[in-house]
Amino acid sequence: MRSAIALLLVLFAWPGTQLLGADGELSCRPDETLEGCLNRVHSEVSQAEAAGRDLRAEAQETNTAAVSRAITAETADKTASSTGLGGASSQRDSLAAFLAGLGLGEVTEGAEEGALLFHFNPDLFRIGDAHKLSLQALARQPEIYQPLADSVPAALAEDLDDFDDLQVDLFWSLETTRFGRRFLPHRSLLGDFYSELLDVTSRSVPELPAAATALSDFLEDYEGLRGVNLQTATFSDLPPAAAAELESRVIAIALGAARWVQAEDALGASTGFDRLPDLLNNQPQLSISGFYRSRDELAGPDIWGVEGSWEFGWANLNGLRRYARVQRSEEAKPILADLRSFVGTEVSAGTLKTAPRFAVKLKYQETDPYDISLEDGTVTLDLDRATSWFGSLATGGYLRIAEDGTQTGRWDLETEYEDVSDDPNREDRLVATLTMTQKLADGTDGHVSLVWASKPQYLGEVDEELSARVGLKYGIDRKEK
Amino acid sequence: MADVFKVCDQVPNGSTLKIDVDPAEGAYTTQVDFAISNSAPESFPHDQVVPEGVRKVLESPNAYVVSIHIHCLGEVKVTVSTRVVDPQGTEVCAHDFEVECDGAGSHLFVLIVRTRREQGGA
Repeated sequence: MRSAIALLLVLFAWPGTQLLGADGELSCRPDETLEGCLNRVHSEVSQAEAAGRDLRAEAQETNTAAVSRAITAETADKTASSTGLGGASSQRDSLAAFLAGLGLGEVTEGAEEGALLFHFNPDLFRIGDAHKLSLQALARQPEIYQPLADSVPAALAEDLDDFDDLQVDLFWSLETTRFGRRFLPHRSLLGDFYSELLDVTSRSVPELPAAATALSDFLEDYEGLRGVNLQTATFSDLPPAAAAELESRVIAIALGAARWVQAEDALGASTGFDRLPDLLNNQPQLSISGFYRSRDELAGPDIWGVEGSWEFGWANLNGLRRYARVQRSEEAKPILADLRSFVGTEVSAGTLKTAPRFAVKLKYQETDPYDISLEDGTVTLDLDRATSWFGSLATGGYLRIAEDGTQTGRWDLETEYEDVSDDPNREDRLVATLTMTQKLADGTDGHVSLVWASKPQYLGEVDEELSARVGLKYGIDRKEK
Repeated sequence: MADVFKVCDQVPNGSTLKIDVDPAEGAYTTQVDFAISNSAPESFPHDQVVPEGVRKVLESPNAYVVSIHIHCLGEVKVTVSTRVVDPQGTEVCAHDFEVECDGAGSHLFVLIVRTRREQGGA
């Protein structure tokens, strides 16, 4: 068909099409419908281009995508594990099924052996877009309270029921344009960037909008196609002249679409648009949580506490907004040129690659007074109310970046101070932990931690004791499949 | 490779094209561009596409080439539902596009819709 041959000659000059092999057939087959031909031609062109595009896509993979994958995989693992609830009793299994059945939430295994974690559906607690609330309950396998354990018969543990050690946690975080890491508050900004990105793409690949306009005009105006249903008609059903005209427009739009995606991908990387998740992931995060742990008398005293945390990364969307105001005007909203320039600056400074973080946490905890006497008088224990304050500072960042841009090695330093001044049985303590984590080839994480404690008794469990107050912990975190 | 192009032909005059993108919130952004025969093109940016959806009355005689742009920014599965409903409310054409993203990248879907030309029409 003459028009197809002419188009082929034109396309031969386009570098992208040189990847087309001898099998690439840039014409519609007689037995194909309009849709069939469009999709086949587009698929063949895209596949020919795929090798180059995939390499770029991998190189441009964002930090957040990697983090997001890890979180999703973790969630998927937890969800999968919820189908087999280990040693949980039938009473707890029934409650899990009840919650899931009513759409109230889901149940997973807790970190501690035999524990169950009930995640309540966050939609139940929505109080506006700016406030994210979540509720969960942790049912631990109840055990005899440690100070009593050596003095009471082990058989007493059988008196404890499934829910005799239950903790309820309520979490709140602020989700606005200045705080939080959800896309929703930034939807308008992202949408504006995208419209601009598409404008730039259409200037660099005018073939697609031109081909779309040409096809719509042709379908409406061409006499030979009136009354023909192009959903079902094949090219052999069409008058030869109409088939040839349609074919040339089909090939033009299929090629235009393939080239458009390639160009948009390249612009997404070069303008910094694809780094938006990294900027979002570095936004400050403000959250407060509270918990109440209710225990049977044999399992120990009740405890409640509240914790606030504030965390931020250096290169973030707040910084981009400030950058636009400084560069242009006080009211300026960031545009694509600001994004490109800002991301370029942050990449040069290394802050997007190393993603340094800083976090502050403050926690207050109160343990109820505890007074127990067994009937036979063999054991009595009387403890006063105890309060403690915890404060922690943490910082960290990535150290190693793989050739494909994936961040593989990171360091984290956390210091935690616990003030238990009003508890005569305990001493204040300071613990500092420096952790190095490295992603391994099989997707697992290897980690080594150097722990220092102000008193030997606070060093905790370590794999290697270097001195009374310094130890090493190491291991490999395997992800369950 | 999933189909990028879909066709709805001979839809009745006055039908409504409905385009809905799910999920309403996620690691992606979108825009819908219309090329309309012998008319100026129209664009619907993200805020007009999500979450309310695009609604367009298809007037005869006309042909529409609708480009649905999705740009992923992380791990997300996006479904684009396109429905043509005639003036009586009957669904006359339905196509879904779906993309499962594991990182940043662009995706394009194209829907071609042509209205039925009434006898004696222009």
